Amino acid sequence: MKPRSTTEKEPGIYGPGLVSLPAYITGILLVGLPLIVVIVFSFLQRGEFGSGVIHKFTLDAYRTVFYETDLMGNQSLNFSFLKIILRSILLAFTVTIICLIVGIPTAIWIALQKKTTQRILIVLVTIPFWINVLARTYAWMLLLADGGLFNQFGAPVLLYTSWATFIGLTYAFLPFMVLPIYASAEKLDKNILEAAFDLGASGWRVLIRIVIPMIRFGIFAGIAIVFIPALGAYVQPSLLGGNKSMLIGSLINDQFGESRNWPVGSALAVLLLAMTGVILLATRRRKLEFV
Amino acid sequence: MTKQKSWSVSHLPLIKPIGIASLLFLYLPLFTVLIFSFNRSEDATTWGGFSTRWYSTILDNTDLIRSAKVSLSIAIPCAIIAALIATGLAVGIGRATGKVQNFLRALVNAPLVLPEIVTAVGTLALFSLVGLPLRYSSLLFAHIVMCVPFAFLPIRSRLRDFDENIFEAARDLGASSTRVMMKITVPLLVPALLSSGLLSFIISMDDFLTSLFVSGPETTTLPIYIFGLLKLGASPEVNVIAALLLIIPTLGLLVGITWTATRRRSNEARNK
Repeated sequence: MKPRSTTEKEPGIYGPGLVSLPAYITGILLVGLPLIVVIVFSFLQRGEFGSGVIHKFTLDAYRTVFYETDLMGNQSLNFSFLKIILRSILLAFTVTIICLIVGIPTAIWIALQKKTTQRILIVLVTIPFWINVLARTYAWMLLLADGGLFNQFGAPVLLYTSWATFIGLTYAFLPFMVLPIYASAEKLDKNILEAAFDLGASGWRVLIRIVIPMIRFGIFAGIAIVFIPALGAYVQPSLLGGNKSMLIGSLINDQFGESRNWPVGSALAVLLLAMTGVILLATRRRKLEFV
Repeated sequence: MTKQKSWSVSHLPLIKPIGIASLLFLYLPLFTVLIFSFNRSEDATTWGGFSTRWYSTILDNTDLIRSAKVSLSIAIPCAIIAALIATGLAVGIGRATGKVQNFLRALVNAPLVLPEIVTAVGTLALFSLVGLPLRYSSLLFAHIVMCVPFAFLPIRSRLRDFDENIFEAARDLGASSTRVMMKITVPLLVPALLSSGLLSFIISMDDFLTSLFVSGPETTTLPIYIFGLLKLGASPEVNVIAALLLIIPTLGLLVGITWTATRRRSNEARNK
C-alpha cells in the first residue's frame, strides 16, 4: 500500500480548518434548521388568524391531507389532495421519461463529436440554464397562446392546459438531463464501440448493450435532478397550466398564502421532502452493481 | 457494412436526428422571444414589422426599474458573501473525508438537490418562528444560503487542479496553515473567486420562488415583479423584458467563456 503523507487527510492542507466555520454555521442555521422547523410545524395547530402556528402537538395537518370529515363526523379518504399529489408524481414521471428519451441520444451525440465541437455544443445546452426561468416560460406562453405562433399555423391552443405545463417542464429540465449523461458519455472509449461494430453488432445492440450500461451513472444522476425539481415545480404550472390542474408546488404555496394553513403546507412540504429522499436513495451510485 | 469506412456516430440509431432536434427545441422558443421583442404591432404575437419602439417604453416603467434596483441591492452583497463563505468551506475542509465534515458539507450543499419550494417554505417558517421581519436582511440571508453551494463548485474544482505538493512543501518548510492560505491558496484562487461570485450574482438575480416566500412589500425583486406581469399574459412590453433577460446573461456567459479560453491559451503558451 502506498504510504500516505500525514497532511493528506487533514483539513488543514489549504489553510486553517476554522475558515469553514461560516459555511457550517449557515448550513446548520439556514439549511438544517428550516427543514427541522417545517417538520415541527407540520405537527402543530393552525394559527388563529390563519398565518403562523399554535404551539400544540396535533396530527390534524396530516389528517387534512389524507382524510376529510363529513358533517356526520365520518372520515373518508380526501381525494382532492391525493389527486393533486398523484398528478404531480405522474407529471414529474412523464417529464423525466421524455427528458430521458431526448436527453440520452443528445448527450451521446455530443460526446461523440470532435473536442472543439463538443465544447461548443455543451455551451449551447448550458445557455438556456442561465436564462431566467420566467423568460423561458414566457417564450412558451408566446408559442402556445390563443393566437400564438403555433395557433397561427393551425395547432390547437395548449396554453393553460396540463400539456403546456408538461412542455414547459420538459423544456426547463432537458439541459439537466443532458449534462450529467454527457459527463459520463464523454469518458466512453470509442474503440470499444468500433470493436463491437467490427464484430458485427448492430447499432441498436451497441447502444443497448454497451453505451447505455456504460453511462448508467450519468443517467441515474439525470433522473434525480430532473424528477426532483419537476415534482416541486411552481413557476411553469402556475404560468402555463392555469388553475384547472393544480400541482403540489402550487398547493404548498396556496397553504402558506391564500388558504392560510401553515401546518398543512408544512405537511405537504414534508411529503415532498420524503419523496425527494426516496428518489435520491433510489438513484445513488450502487457500488456492488456490475454490467 | 464496409469495413474500410471509418466508424462514426451515425452508426448508432436515432442519435444524430434526436441530438439536432433537441438543440432546435432548446433554441426555437428563445429566438421567438428575441424576434418578437422587435415587433411593431400592439399585439404581442402577431408580426407587424420591425421596430424598437417597445424597448424605449420599458425605461419609463418605474416599477420595473425599482424592482431591478432591489434585485441588484441583494445580488451584489449576496455574490460577495456567498463567494467568501464558499471559499472558506473549500479551503478549510481541504481533503477531509471525516463523517462529520461530509455531513456538514452535504448540509451546505443540500439546496442543490432539494426542491426549492421546500427550502423556501422552511426559511419562511424559521424566520416567523424567530420573529425576523421579512425585509432586506431576511431576503439577503435566504439568497446567500441558496448561492453558497453553487459558489462552492468553481472554487472546489480549481483547488483540485493544483498539485498538492505545493501546499505540503510549504507546510514541511514550516509555514503555518494561515500563512499557506494567505500566501498560496488565496492568490491561486482569485480567478475562481470571480467566477464563483458571478455565478452567485446570476442565481440571486434570477431567483423567484425563495424570494416570493421571504420578501416583504418593500423588497419586490425583479423576478417577482415580472411574474406578476406574466400572470396577465403576453404583451409587447413583456416581450422586450423577456428578450433582455435572454440577452444579458447570454452575453455575460459568452464574454466569460472567451475570457477563460484566452487565459487558458495564453497560460499554455507561457508554460511551453
